[in-house]
Amino acid sequence: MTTDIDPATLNQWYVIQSSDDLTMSSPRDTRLLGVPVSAARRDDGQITVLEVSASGETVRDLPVQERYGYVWTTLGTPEGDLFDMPEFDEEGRRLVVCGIATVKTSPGRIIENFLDMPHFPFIHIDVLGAEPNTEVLPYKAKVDTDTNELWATDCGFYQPKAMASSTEGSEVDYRYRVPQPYVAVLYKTSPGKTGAFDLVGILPQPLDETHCDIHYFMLVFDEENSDQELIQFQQGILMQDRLILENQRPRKLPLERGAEMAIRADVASVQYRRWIKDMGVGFGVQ
Amino acid sequence: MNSSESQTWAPVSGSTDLAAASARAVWLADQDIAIWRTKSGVASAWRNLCPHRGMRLSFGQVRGEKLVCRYHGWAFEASGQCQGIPASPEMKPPPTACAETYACREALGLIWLNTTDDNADALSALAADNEIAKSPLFCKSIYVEGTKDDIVERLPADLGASEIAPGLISLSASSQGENVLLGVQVCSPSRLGLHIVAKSAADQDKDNKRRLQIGKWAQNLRWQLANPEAMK
Amino acid sequence: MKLHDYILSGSCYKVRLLLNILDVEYEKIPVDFYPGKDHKKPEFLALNPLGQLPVLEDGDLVLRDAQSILLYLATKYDDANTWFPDDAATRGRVAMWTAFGGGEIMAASAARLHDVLNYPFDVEQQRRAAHAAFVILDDHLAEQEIRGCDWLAGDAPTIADIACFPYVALSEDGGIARDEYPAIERWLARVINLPGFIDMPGVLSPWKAPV
Repeated sequence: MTTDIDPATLNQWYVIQSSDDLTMSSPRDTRLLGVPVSAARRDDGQITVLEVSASGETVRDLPVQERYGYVWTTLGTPEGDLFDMPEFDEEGRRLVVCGIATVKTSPGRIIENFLDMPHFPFIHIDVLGAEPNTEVLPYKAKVDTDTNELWATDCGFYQPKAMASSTEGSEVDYRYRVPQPYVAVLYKTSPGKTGAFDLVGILPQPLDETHCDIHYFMLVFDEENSDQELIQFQQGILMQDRLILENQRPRKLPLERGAEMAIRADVASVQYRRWIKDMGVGFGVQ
Repeated sequence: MNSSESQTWAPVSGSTDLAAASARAVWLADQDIAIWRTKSGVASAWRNLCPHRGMRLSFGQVRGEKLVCRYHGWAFEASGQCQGIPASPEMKPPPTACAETYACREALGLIWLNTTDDNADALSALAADNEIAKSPLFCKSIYVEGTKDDIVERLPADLGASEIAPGLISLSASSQGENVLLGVQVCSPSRLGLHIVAKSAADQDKDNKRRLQIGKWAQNLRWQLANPEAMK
Repeated sequence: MKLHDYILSGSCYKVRLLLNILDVEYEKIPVDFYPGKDHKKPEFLALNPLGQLPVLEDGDLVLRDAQSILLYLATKYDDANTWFPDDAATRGRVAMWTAFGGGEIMAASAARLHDVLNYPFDVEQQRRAAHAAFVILDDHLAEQEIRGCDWLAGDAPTIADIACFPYVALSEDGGIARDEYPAIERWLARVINLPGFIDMPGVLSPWKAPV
């Protein structure tokens, strides 16, 4: 029931499918925040998204927009428009959509894992990190009060293979952006264009509090690699994270201070938990 | 956890089923527990939860005398205390960076744990008089649906089963008519582990032969317990 | 040599693993298994009418079915002749357990496809079938150990071990825990420690550090 969901969670736009995968012959019946929704592309190319009852009857029409290669909807009334990613308008950019990975955990755990660097040498071995280069140097994490977005900046890490296009190890600069509680984008040094950043975005669609369909994409400068090489690189990374995500307990993200331990390298996650707690997020947390 | 279960020692594995430098998960009354063994052979049983970000420690890797959490590489020694945090190598991990430990001892060829009390005497008293206790030979573990309250009745009558201590059943006849012990592990309200221990002949070849025979018998027993209609 | 491959496919991984162990060079051709489902489209069906990965091309030879590809690679490229040895009884055992790896074990693959990629399977039934197969595998491996053999078909690793390894190692992806299978856990560790072993996403391999 949408009345049970806190406003901070409810009044957000959520991805429920990629644009390319919502065709006239492939509608999507799914759940958003525990509520059954149904999306279909009509003859005229427009999309209808409906909240449906448990027995499949239409309850109401839901707002819908297509942006950044995805279909977004909401069960509430978001303030303002969807966040901006101006990089999508840059010439030479490739958008690579990676499909959906279903994971039994809360959206908060997914976002936190995405913001986490210390796991690179242990989970994404010889790709995003490798022992003995495990130290995470101090970085900054704070909420931009003008935009109400969380940013982690000045993050750096040595990566043996930072992106599919990397042919050698490199020091990589990372910036993490959380524009709304359950969306995160990372900006990392682009191997394909000097001085530019490649984007990797993670857009968990909460089916329920501890079950999510993760939509994820890359926006890159890369003229060498095929779509498949890029997609499979990213899918591999996500499957490595999935094993961790499904084996964290509790599945809901603990927001109480002191519920779990944090060290200096965890400042992004500390700020994230505090930020969503202050916002009143109650879905998928405890 | 049910209080009567938590006050006693519970078997969770054959000793030889926890190899040196390995870790795995076991369940006791629906509690998720990580058991692991150091390279030198010390066995530990902990709550299956890393104090950092809640990762299950049973997925960790044992490096020498430490259990290293799979997520961020936090290295824990047998006392439960974290000794190293790779993201901050210069930092001495605080005392709060500690796993929740349970009492863990080995006896009768099995690994036993106790979540409330490390009473070694109570453990050694469990089967002190039994012939098998003097030279136990762990054979096999089987897992079956059921509760500890009726497992004795469910066992085939010709096995002569009797509960000789909490969590310990004696069978006067198994295969070749010999006495074996069953260590009973209550994994959940509806699932049991039965850890089968025979008497060692103190001879490698004879013991191996016995383990194969009892293994086959145990597979049959597992089938019988899963197919009670066929036993009538 | 070309391997039509998908990074998350355990069946493709069977072939990638043996190719690396045997140190054979090959070209990987990534196929859009997901989300594109290219393996079901006419261009791929011309290569393999079953619409499945992996497919191996070696010169004019085109082979489908991971188990058959393992047999071919072991026959052609294993000079030491240990991965599919000549002895008749051993061959029989290797074939039996290789078939198991492409047969009963695949229930774990189905559970994984359901849980990760939402394939419309009866996942509870698949998990039950996977557990039934794992019980048989664990029983057998425990008996092998008592007989002094560390591997499925004898005292040396064969293609049977390669055929069974991936979906057992990836079982957690499909909600199949291995806490009741200690002999399987020990065998997984032995496979992981083979010279030339490579992992895949979801398979936990040892880290680089002194133990």
